[in-house]
Amino acid sequence: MLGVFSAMEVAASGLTAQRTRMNTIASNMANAQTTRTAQGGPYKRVDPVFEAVAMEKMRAVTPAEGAVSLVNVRQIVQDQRPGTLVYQPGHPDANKDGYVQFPNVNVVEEMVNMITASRSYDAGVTSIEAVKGMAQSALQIGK
Amino acid sequence: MPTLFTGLTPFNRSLDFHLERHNLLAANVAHVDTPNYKPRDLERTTSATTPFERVFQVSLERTHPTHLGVVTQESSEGRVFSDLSAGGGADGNFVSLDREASKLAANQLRYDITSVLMSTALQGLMYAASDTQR
Amino acid sequence: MAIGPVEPGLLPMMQPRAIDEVPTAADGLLGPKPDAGVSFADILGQVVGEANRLGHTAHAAAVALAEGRSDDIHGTMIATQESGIQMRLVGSIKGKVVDAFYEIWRMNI
Repeated sequence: MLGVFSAMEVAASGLTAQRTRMNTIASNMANAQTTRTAQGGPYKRVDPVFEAVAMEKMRAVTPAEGAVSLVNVRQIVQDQRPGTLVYQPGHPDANKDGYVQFPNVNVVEEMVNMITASRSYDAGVTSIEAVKGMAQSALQIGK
Repeated sequence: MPTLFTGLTPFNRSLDFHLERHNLLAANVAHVDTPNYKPRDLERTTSATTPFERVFQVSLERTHPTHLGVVTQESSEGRVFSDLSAGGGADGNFVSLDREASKLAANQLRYDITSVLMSTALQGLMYAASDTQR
Repeated sequence: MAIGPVEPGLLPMMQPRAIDEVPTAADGLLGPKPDAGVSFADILGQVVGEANRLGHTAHAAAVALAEGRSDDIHGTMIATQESGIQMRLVGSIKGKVVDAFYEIWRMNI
């Protein structure tokens, strides 16, 4: 049944997804200048890929039950776009022409993503609080 | 022997269960940074057993004084299990704060609900017991 | 049946009558006839049966909700409140019946 607890579960999945997104953003921002990684080459920024999954234990009996889905982080993908090349001949990671390839991280873009993720997280928390409030007022029926 | 309050036993047991679960979840939250910590959770053992199912619930009897006794946790309402669904971090810690907080909120709500249902049932019994005057 | 001559200006209910006369339907004094077959005992039985049924439904729903098998909070709360109100209705009816009995008991014949 689409009750209070299913709503909380859906919102909680959103919170987990946004937290994962925050982790990737933090990783990108921290490694914005990293020119060497274990795989060789500069750091490549990462993004989470979300997918909608059906809720467990719930057969799609009504159209509403079939439409409600959880968020799942399917995978974390690397952004393969090349980063900027900067001419720094003395840099340890410079190539034979003296250019160093820096990560493809745009700090401003990451800041915007961070704000979006934070707001989405807050919205998920508000959603949980709202449905808790609804349940509490349902407990007051007849009092 | 059934008493006036026999019908309230499910509510009692539910309150016990949710309080026990809260303790486990609070411990998970406290161990959010402990390496190799796996969060634990409580799930109900089957409360709705048909007479057919009860046939298969065999209890161990001591047939000889030197046999070891069986420890039964009669106060526990559920089965403790490890919930690893949040995925582990590099330090082996599997606690996800969002998941634990959501579980705590849901558990608290269930406790509140059961408490209100218990109150309503007791009020009904009080009304009947006081010669329908209150 | 009126005693003495019928007074032309009076309503039928005001015609002079004997003390022990029982009014008939022709006098226009009786109210509408009650349905044949539906008695107070039937109605009381219905009310008590409904209270029993609501009580069982509400208790089953409450136990299911408490044990986590159900998620229907407002439905269960409404069912328990309905059951409580029906019980109070039965209690009130019982009180009225008992009061009526004692009122008759106390009558000086």
